[in-house]
Amino acid sequence: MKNARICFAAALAALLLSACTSGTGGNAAYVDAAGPRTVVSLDKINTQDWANAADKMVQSLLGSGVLERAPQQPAVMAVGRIVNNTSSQVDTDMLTKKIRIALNKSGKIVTTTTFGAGAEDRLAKEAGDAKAFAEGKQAPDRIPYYTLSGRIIEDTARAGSTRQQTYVFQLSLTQVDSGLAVWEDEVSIAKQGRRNAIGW
Amino acid sequence: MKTRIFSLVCLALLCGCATVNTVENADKSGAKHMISDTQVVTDKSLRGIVEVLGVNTAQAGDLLKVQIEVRNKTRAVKNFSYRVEWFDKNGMSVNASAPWHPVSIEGGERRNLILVAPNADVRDFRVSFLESVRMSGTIL
Repeated sequence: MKNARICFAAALAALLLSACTSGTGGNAAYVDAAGPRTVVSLDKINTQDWANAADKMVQSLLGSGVLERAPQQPAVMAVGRIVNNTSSQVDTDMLTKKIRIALNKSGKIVTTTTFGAGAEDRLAKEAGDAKAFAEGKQAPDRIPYYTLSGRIIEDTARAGSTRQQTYVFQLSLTQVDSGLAVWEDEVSIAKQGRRNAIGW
Repeated sequence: MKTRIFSLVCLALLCGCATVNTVENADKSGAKHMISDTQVVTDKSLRGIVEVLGVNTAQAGDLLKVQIEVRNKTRAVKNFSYRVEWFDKNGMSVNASAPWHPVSIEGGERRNLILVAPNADVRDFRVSFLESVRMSGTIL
């Protein structure tokens, strides 16, 4: 009888505790895209990983003080090549756009979207050129002061049925005049387990 | 027989509990600017696991830089998350949708969480801590 009561109490406690951590019971519901109740996948970079890496990179860049050394404030930056060295197709804008947004909001960086052959906003580039031509002026100087480039690398390790997937985000900020990297940082996100899971 | 089983169980439990020893210079030459903090505890189990030892601030150019030292009070590795919200001179949040950051901290380890404000208008901050919300046994 006493053992039965103990078992019942333990089962009730487990049920109550699981209610605090239970998700949606299988029904679709909204979750914070960068929050701790998202899916943790072993075979891909999750949305929270992108947000985490971008936030850490931005804090590192802002904390370095290098952006304040630009002669013009806010400084002009162009986003160069972010190489994807992972085994899956990823859109590197998931990282760079977050960084651009945060830097723009900081008031220290503006990103040019009309520089170069692969300009992001071709319409703005053509409109700027057309306006300058109509006014008899030189085309606007879009040469950036800084460029941002980097690489995303994937590393996989196994121990029995446990898998460890590490994504390494590497970024460099290059000063165009000198060609030197004035800021560099690396963020590693390692995930380990036997299967995907909800929550972290 | 019972003593042997009990010893094996204790050994198995203790094997997962490696803690961190540290060594550092006793006479510090750096000067921390420690600030007083207000803590609101709604999860006592989290406070029993991770405690905030102190909050230190500095300036990174015109940006507020905050360092929060936390310590794992247990002997086992623990997971928690933190998120920082920044406020300007009017008390308005400047980054309401900030991401959560996962942290894995070894038993007895002291860790510094270093945070840099997103712009020069920031005056105050609030850091939220959350215990692991992992739902065990979920198969996808």
